[in-house]
Amino acid sequence: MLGCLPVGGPPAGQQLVHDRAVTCAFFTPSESEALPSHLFSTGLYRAPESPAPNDFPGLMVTELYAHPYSEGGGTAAGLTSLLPGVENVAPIQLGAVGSSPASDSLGRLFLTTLQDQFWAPSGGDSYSGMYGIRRYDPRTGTVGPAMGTALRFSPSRARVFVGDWTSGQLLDLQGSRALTSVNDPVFIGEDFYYVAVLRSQPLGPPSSSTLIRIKPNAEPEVLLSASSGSLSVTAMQGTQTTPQLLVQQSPAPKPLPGFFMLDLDTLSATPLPSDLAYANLMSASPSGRWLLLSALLLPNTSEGPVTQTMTLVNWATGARMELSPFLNGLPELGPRSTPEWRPGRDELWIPTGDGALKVVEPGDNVTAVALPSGLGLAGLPRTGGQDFSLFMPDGQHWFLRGPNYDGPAYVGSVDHPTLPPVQLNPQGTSPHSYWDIGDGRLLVGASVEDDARQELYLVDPAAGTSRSVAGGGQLVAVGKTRALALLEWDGGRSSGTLTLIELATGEQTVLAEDVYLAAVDPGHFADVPAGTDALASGTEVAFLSRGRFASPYDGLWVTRLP
Amino acid sequence: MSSVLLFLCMVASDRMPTSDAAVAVDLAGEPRWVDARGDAGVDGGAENDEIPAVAAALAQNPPPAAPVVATGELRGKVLAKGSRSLMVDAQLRATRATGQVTSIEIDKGHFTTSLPCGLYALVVRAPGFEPLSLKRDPCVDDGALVLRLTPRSNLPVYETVVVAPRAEPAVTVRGQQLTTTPGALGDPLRIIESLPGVAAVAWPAPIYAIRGSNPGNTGYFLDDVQIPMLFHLALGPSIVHPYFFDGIDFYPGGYPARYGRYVGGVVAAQTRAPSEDTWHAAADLRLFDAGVMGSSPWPDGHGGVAAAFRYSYTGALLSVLQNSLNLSYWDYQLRADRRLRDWTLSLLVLGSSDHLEYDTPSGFPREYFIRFHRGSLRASTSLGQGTLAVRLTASADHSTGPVVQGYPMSVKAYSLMPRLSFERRTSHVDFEAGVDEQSQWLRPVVGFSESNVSDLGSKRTAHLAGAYASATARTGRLTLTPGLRLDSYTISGVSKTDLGPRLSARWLVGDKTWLVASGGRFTQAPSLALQVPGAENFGLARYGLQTSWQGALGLLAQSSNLVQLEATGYVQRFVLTDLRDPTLTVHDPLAGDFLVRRDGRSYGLEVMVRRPESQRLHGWLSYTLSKSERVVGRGVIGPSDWDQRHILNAVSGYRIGNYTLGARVHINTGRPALLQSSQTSTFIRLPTFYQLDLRAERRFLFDSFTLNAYVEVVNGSMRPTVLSVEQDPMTGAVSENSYRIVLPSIGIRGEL
Repeated sequence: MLGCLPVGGPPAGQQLVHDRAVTCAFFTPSESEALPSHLFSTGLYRAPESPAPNDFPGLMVTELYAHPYSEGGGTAAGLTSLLPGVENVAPIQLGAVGSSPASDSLGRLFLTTLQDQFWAPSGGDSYSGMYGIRRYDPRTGTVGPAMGTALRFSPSRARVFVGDWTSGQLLDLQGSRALTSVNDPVFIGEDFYYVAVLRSQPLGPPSSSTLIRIKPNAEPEVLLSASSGSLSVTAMQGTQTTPQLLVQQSPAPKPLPGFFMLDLDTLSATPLPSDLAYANLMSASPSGRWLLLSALLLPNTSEGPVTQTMTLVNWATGARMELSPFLNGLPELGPRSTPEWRPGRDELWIPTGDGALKVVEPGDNVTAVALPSGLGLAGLPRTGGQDFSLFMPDGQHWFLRGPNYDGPAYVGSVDHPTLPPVQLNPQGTSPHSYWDIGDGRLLVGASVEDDARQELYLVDPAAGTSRSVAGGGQLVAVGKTRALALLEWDGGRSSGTLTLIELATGEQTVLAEDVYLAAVDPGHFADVPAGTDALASGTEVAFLSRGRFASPYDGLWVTRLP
Repeated sequence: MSSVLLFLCMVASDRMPTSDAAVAVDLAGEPRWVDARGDAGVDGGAENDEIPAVAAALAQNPPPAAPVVATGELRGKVLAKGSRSLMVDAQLRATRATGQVTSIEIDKGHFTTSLPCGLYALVVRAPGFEPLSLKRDPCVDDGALVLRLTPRSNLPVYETVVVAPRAEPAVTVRGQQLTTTPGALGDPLRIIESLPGVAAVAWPAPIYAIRGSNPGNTGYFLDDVQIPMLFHLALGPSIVHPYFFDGIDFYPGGYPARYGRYVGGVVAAQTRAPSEDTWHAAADLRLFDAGVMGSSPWPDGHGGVAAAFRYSYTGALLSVLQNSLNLSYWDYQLRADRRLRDWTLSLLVLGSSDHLEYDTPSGFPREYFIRFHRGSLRASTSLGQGTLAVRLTASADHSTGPVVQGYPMSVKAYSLMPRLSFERRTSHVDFEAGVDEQSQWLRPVVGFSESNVSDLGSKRTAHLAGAYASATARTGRLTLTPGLRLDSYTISGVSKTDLGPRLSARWLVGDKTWLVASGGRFTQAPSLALQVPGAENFGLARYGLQTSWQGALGLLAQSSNLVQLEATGYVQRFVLTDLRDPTLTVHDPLAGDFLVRRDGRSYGLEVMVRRPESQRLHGWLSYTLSKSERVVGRGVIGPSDWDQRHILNAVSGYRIGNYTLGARVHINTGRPALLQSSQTSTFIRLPTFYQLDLRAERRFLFDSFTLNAYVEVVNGSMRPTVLSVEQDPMTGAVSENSYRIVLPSIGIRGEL
């Protein structure tokens, strides 16, 4: 009778590593049709051997392992029997979803690692000087030198800038260029722009600033120079404008304007009003024509209040509009009141206490819009996309919540704001974020207490419906018709059941139990074509499993979605 | 007769007692002199003369025979000294100097007889009491005698009932041990944590895992009425007054067919029948509570009524010390028996209430409220040389508690539980059969909604029905009790039925040595880890029935000095609703994944050596070696959350005169606990827990009442209870989450 206990079978898929100490797993695109995505894991985090751990308590590193896999692979071994691809890698993450470090168009990874020669900041507890980004090529196993901590990619990811505030490297597919004194590095298209700042003393004020452009396979060209003072640039890319750089010079060199838009094709400058030379850019309209600027006005006396102005400026025409008079004083800036452009339109919306101000075609019309009673605009974070927005990506719907920011969230029609909104989550639960399925529907996570144990609600704003499809976990990925989630999440052990959920029916397929991290293969290429189903049948999923007690199935697994 | 002869021989010998003494004979036949006044136990009636002098005079000058015999009436009653209890099993003999002995019938403690005039030596004896002797001439002393027998100093005040060996595997606790066992704080139900097979998983919380099952798998019955919780909150006492108990039968497994719906063990307690001789009262005052109990016969003598009430001021004390905490609780019990023609009616009413409220750092108060009432009427009559009994029990439960994020969940549940049984006992076969049913209406109210929830938070109705039959056949050396129980569960419209065969056997293999075996199949509706009134009868559709197959084989031996040795090996196979993981950070019993259906097994060895309470040195030594396992999936069988591999209890008491000293030593190895760091997790064993409990009691025996004063300290060893362990993510250092509780108690108890 004792031998009859059903002990359960292994998870579906192929076990690559048998080890309870795997801390992270992720895919990176191979950028080649001929090669599957690269799969990596990291081992236990540990104090580095050098410097002495006691000198920097809390400084942790780990090793990165590459895992080639195929159907019917061999017996899984422990991590300690494997050779690490990169040593002394900074901890990548400890979340439940394996997110990939950045990679370039050749599938090379850019990893933060402990520097060979590091400098320790004097005072404070920052260890930033100890790390540097290295490029790791999984095809050859080569690891480059540490190059700084700032990372910028060109849209094609064929060009990469790695650096810090003293120096940097511009990496092309075939070579690299060392740069010094790099400020405001930015790619516009495949062209690289930065401001080279010269200082007479290492931490002193700029003595001169130069805006430099480096096109692919070309030498650097100087676009602007400020013999004294500083330059700062911000990339502007609207739907109705050519690429521009918003340039601010301080102090403004006479007779040149101190604040202007620089056309990168013609290198012509369009000055902005001089009284806004010290204003801050809050946002640009989707077309790129309108800028929302704010400035602080200092009081006349030391005890007077600091006031803020908000101004809309059409940088091409010079038209401007002061918003402050419409705001009945200053709006309380914050997540509930930050002005936001409606996606795809030059409509600025400013939440107010009992509604919203709608600015259509700035300068022409400002309308106070009433919302459903007791509700106000309140943004909701989107997973995998922009951090926080009042609007859904389609620009047709927005999010609302109660006055105290508690209770359920709603989604309503922007063009019909008084229509009853659709309730996203039940009373007593708090919404966290949503996934955009891509067909107008949302998958909203809400929880009663534990953020990791969310109820998942499928919301169709057009149909006005919201229904629960699963609960007690968190999403890993969302496809067109399915969602992958870690359900039955146990916060004590930080693991759950990897489950595939059919959105239409709520039907659940358990892939593995006691999973503490899962990662979905993004495909061969980082640039996923529009319309691709992220959870199509056959998609590879890697997961880390660790039971309550040591199990032969502990470790790294990879499986294909049914 | 022998004692009387011995008395006369002594009278004629040189071994004359002093003038203030009377002679007595103890159970071993040795005579000794006891005080004939005051505590000697004679009230009223004629003066006590010096018996030796009278006897000697009688021997030297026998009275002349008279042709006409004048008689006088000898009447009175016999009581136990220190109480108002009439002695129903006393023997009274009157001896004249001629050697003529007359046995006088005692009917329910009273005696009345006519005797020829003359001086008699009266000797009263009763088991467990010192014999009492006095002289009496019924023609001279015509007053009623009140004879008080003094309990023997090396015996308990009230004799422990000797229970004949049964086939069913029960550990029985009766008599004074119910309230004087060290470590139990006077609570009979707490004694079970000192019995073999019982793991107290988080002492002093009364959470018991028995033979590897979950704490929620053990049933508790009081006079066959299921009670949903045993103890008040916050280290409170049991919900039934200690002196309301008459005895406890603890079945760690293989319980009788008349009980059902639990896949673990059963604790079956019996209430004390109301006194029918006279009224009695008891009051106790302890450091943390006070209680009273009264019992009286009906005026017409057809039964009696007993009631108890207790109020604990622990909550008031705590509330004074801690402003942010409000705790109160009370309980009551009443039993009334009544004979009505051929029927005997017995009404049992009991209830309990707990209220705990405290503030949290977030400012939101948390409130727990648990209240239940039970009313049960049993009617029994003779039928065909057997006994037919009908019982109807009604219950009302109300519980409120915070669940996730402090949202309150409240549930009210009402039940009707009819029961019909028939018993017939013969010299060779005892037969028992019956049916029982529970219809329960549960009405929960939840302050929030989730989609993936069990029906624990939903309005639902449950109908549980059972039918059983068992027989105990005694054939020479073998006692065999086969049984069969059919249980049907219908919860929220989902029905499950299961047939549970059971078998118990006891085989006399040698002189006072038995082989004992038991086993069977048992079922239960899904349950939480802990029993909460109203949080039951749910999830049948989601989890199915809990089931167990149980088997046990043991050896029981009894030595000539009544020491019992019992060694039992057991094995059990379960399908249980486990807590999915005891490390859940969100304690949401409504969540659909809070519980999981899990296979499991347990096996082990229990050894118990017991010296009965009738001995000056008494107590028991119990040791449990157990292994409780669960299938946790992924090819792994791991220990259950409650698994304690070794459990040792040594409970002893020693009487010195009116003092009783007791001690208890408990040792258990740790259960599994999660050790989690920021990167990985593993299960380790909590440290071994041990405790030393001490108790001392002094008895003051007065004529009609007894006063006991006692002092007790539980966990005098001051060992902390470790609940969990943590690992510092930076240093890797492991720390224990523990509390150290020492429970001192001092109190007095008076009984009439």
